[in-house]
Amino acid sequence: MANLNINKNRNMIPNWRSFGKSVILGELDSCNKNNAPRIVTSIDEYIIDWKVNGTLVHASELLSAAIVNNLRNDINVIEAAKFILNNSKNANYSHISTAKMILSGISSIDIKSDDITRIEILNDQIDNDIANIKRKITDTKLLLRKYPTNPILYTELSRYYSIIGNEKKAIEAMKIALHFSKDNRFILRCATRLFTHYGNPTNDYIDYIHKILVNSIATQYDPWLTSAEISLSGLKGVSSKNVKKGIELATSKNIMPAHISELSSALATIELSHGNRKKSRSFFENALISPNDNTLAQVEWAMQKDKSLIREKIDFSQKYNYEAESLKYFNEQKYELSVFYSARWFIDMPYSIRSLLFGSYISSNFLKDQKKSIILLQAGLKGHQNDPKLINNLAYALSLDGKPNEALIELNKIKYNSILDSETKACVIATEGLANYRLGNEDDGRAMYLKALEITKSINNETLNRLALLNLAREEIRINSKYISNIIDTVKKIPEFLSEPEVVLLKKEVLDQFEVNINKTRK
Amino acid sequence: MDNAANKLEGITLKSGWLVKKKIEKYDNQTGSIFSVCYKAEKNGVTCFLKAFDFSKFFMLHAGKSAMEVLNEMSSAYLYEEKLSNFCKNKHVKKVAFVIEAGQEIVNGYAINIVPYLIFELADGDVRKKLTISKNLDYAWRLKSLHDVAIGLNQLHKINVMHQDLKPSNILVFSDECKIGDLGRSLCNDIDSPLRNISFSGDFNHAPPEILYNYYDPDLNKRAYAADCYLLGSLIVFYFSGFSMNALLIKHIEDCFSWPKWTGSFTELEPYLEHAFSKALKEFEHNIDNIEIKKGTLELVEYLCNPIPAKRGHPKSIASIGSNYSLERFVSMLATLQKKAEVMVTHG
Repeated sequence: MANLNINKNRNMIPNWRSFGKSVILGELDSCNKNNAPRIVTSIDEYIIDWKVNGTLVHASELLSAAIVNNLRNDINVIEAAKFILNNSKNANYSHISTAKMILSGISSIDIKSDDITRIEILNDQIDNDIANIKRKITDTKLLLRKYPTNPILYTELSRYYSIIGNEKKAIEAMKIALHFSKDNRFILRCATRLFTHYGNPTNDYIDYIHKILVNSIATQYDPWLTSAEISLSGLKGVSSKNVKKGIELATSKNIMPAHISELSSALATIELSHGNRKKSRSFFENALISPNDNTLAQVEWAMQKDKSLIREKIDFSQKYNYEAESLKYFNEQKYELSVFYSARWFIDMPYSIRSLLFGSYISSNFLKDQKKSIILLQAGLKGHQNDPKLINNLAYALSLDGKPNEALIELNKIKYNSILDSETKACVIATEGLANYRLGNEDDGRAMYLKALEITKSINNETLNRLALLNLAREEIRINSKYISNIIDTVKKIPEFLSEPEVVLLKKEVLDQFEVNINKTRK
Repeated sequence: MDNAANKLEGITLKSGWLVKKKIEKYDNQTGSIFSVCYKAEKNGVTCFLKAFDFSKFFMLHAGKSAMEVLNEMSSAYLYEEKLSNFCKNKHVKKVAFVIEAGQEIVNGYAINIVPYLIFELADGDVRKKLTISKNLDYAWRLKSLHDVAIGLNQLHKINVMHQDLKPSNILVFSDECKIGDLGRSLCNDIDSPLRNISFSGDFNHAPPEILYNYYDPDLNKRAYAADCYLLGSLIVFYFSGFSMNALLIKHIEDCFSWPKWTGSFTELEPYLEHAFSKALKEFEHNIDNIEIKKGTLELVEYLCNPIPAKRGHPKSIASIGSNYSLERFVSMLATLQKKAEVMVTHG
């Protein structure tokens, strides 16, 4: 049984991207609407000096003054840059690189495209990405030897480690980054995501980062951080002391709309969870004035619960909004596109496997395209080798694809002690049951499904319980089992909630198949 | 422009100086737009004459009354003379002093009074030297920087903060370099017309905290920190041809640059330090020799840290006293200079 409950609550935990991407997305811009105190300095004397002397030294001095004053387009500056390139034999590294920068008009930020055009090439892309990440780890560690107090480098290092699934080192690096900078938006947002990502009942990560956020002075005035704190409180199931402050910031006229989008979404989510639909809508509308990808994904998630929550047309032109697109296409039942965007979502945020679990779930359950599902899951396992959820879903897809032996080999890789949640345990047991059914070991298969049903019942997870039952029913129908009538009676009692589309779909398929089998028997 | 300051050529001043050829703008003139420069001779010694141009003052201070402008200009003139004498009397070396000061009446102009200062005549400023000797050896550069550091350190010891250390103000003499232009300096013992502004030097070279409008209200801390940065930036220039500010802004993301950033300096610090790491990496690329690279990089890293609280030698920061003491940097430059000289000797 594939492991994913798509209706699980979604909190506005910040997304975590590289420093360069975060800059490009404008997430690190200053919030207030005031203009920077502009100091106007003339470069005229440097121009005169350059014109009179016409040397490399005077040319570079003019370029210095020009870039410091953002006067790169001045004709004299362009001339000086050309002069440097024409005399490159006598020029040094800085001369040449600065002259080129002036003439090309390109800044030093270089974000390489890491997107894909089709899912079939995902694994090659991930192989490349992982090789790059390993190189980046080595480079960053070398840089850190020189600049051991640079928190941005530690944050980047932490991200690299999380991408290859090295939790311990990722946490270690982030703790050092926080040691050097406890009030910086970029670092706190990244840390919030990391500690939430690895947080579980056996560690104190979520409390750790929550405490830092609560104590940071920046949480009091930076809406991005207020949002993170409020969302983290929501995740912990406690009320945030910053809600009032958050409302103040979200309605402030001095902050640009892009900076309060996440905060408004976080507040909307709280209101939604309290059943205050009107207030929730109002905050979501505020969030949608200038949304980022996280807000769009949150809105799409909320729309799964309440399709009429947002009435206005949503602008999807934001960069890197892959999660939102994936959810949107899923809501619109455009499953192929939804899966494609889940792959792009993973490439954008490869430390998290939620994208792949979502994509493979759609692929396996709605598209019935097990091969695509297998590609997605194998891509995830390259960086997150031992993740039980990925392995379980892969084994599920392999079994349905007629490869139960391979499924069992995969399942044997799971260290049962490493599975911390009962949901995943139930799924793994059910998937092993499926593989056994497909190998002809019906008794073992059945026993495992019954065990999974027992676990899902004991933890009150009705969705998983229904899915376990439906998977069991499908297998019993396949082998024309003598128990099938009783099982079908129970299947028929499953309520059809729109919020559980996978249950609705599988129930229909099971009952249809049952009918087909009965008709065959009659004939 | 036709004005008195421009018409001194050939005149023998009341002080006995014969004003000779006008020095066209090629050396040591960035920042000297209020003045016209000449060679002047007395008793067989040729010196440098800086004539203050009142008309330029009027042009640049449009909106101010004539009295205000005259007052500002006379204050600047008197301050530079007074400060120069103050430093000279304190036996400061490696700084170009005023040899004589005076004023001349040149008839036939609306503003006919020309105050002037006479200085030792240098071979040129350091940019000329760096230009002529494209393959200038590290030893010369480091000797020059060592001279500058000695001069600046001596100024600091008598509570003078130069504030305008930049390539055009480094004067090259036959066997040494000296710091020129004390006109923008601050001194604790002399009342300066520039005390009430955030930074009195050339803003193109100003340290980041000034450009971001975040600085220590304590004038001394602020000014010593600025001098530290300017010395580091000068080292950067000697080896890369660019100021530290240029390398910094090249590597800082646009949204964090001083023309754009509206947030607090504390928020900005990690981004600035990150850009600084990248700027240092670029700086390194300009030096071939590993030992010189290591030493100069260390100097720049300490002197130019964009966060004023982290600027200075780590041992100075960790101990009691000023973070911005230059003693250790003088020694470091001396050691590096020696190493470079050994390299030259051994080919």
